[in-house]
Amino acid sequence: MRAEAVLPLLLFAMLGATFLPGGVVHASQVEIEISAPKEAQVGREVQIRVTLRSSGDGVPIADAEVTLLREASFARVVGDVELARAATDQNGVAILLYEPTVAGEQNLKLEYAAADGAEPQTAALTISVAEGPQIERSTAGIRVPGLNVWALVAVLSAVWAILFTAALSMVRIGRIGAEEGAHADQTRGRGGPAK
Amino acid sequence: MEEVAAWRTRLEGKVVSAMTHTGRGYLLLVGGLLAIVAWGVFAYTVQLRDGLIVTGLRDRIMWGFYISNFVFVIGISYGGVLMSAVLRLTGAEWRRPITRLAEGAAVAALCVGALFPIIDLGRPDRFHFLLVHGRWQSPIVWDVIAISTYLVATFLYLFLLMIPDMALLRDRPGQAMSRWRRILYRQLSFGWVGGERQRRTLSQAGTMMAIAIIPIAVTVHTVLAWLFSMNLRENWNSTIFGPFFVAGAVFSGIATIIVIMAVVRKIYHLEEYITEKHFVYLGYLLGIFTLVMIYMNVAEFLTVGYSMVGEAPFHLDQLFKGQFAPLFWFVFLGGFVTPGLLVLMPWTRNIRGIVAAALIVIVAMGIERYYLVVSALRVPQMPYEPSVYAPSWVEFSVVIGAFALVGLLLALFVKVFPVISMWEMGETREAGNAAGGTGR
Repeated sequence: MRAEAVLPLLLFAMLGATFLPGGVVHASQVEIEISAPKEAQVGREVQIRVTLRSSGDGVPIADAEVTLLREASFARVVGDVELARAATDQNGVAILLYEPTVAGEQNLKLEYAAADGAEPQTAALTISVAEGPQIERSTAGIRVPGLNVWALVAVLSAVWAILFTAALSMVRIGRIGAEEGAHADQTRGRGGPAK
Repeated sequence: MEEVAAWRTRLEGKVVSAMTHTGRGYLLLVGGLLAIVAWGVFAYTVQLRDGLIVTGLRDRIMWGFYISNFVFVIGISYGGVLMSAVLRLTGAEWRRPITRLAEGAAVAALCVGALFPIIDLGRPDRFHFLLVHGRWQSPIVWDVIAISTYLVATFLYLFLLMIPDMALLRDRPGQAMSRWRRILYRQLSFGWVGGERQRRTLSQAGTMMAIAIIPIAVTVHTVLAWLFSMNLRENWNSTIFGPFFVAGAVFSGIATIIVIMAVVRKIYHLEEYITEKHFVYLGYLLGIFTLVMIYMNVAEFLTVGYSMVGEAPFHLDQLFKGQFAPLFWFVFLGGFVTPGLLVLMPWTRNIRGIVAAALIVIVAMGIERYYLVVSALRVPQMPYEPSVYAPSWVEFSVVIGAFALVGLLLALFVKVFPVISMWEMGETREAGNAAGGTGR
């Protein structure tokens, strides 16, 4: 009888430990642990490892969305630019990939917003970014072997050849006219009917 | 035969009279257009002197009134040529009195339209950089190549099919033709005597040009669309943009031809040759293209609006409910639906109704090109407030001056060249007579 009563209680406790923290934990009760390199290079991707735990009992928070932000100002307007976004796994770990585009001290911000709409919890981190290789690369577009500038030249040549042929037709019309005019003159000279 | 000869004489008399008799109204029109062009040139000199700061263009909205009108005017040109070529190839006999006007309007519009990107540069002295430093991967380089090819093709197409008429004017007796006209017509008639070999050569070249000019014209407007759609702006980066631009160009081109046709018909009393039938047929084409435009718009906005990702919510909001909503709904309801209804309703399917529909379409397409260019640039790409753009008096003046220049070129065109293809009309009449028909 005692065992029958304990079993459901145990089951309930286990389910609660597994599911409840991910669903109802408030942002203010979350512990954010960040593991990121102190130094980076422009154009080289860095991994930022974020672990979310419930601050009370240290239970990992799964399926929570974490956002990496950087404060930016442009044309006198200040705001946060989103750099990366990832969800935590069963261990409460999310891996964010970030490729710095400018050199210098980068003050970044990690944000976790709880599902219940509570105030988002943030954590700051600083990465020192050194100059790196050129990051602007022309990688867009399709590269088809043989389809290059010569394909464009071929199409253009075909079109201009048609236009040139049409222009030549006008010259040809003129030449025929001159021949027929000369023939008419000769006919007239022989006393034939004038055109 | 005598009836055909009399009909031919009457036609030639009408057309030549339109060319040689210059009334006060024409002089006033040309004077007025010249004054507007001069004002536009003055405004442009202000822009040259002070830079683009005198316009409403800034770093975020850097394409505005000039580029939207560039798209609009090139579209008009494209529509005219395409209509002429397609009707010629399909053997639509009713086309004959109107193709010359369509081709003339196309050339005039193209000559002026091609100037807009240079005006928009702000520093026209740097235009040659495009040729010196241009990369063939750039859609702007494609655009320059396409438009210059199209310009040559349009000129060739126009003048090739004008050869017999030039000969007709060259050989016309009497004092009506001044010396400069005779010299010009002699040069442009290429020694035409109307022999069998010449006719065959002309027919082959005309057909070849009509076939070639269709893909050229489609390419030109598609490349023009790529100028936008190959940007990484979500609102332009659309696969439908090429066909969308082409359809819009034909739509506005047909509308422009209808209006020019109505004006020329009225001024030069060409009612016998340009009849209500021509307006109704072009009205049908206009009606079909209203449906095409509605379809294109629905296809574009429904696809984007259904997924609602990225910049789409902001963009659609400003179009449907925000800053551009009055323009958008005017274009959609006024520019697409109303003309369609005007063509559809039997009691408005006449010259007045169709000209009214065409006028609405022209205004609507001008507006559509405007919000298409400006609204996409207004979408923020960074955390900043959406920009505000309004064309300045300089932009308005330059654009109105450019439109006046199109009008001026057309006014000069109808004075120098026959507005109706007399030789083609004569051929149709003869064929109709031989077949015992009416020679329609």
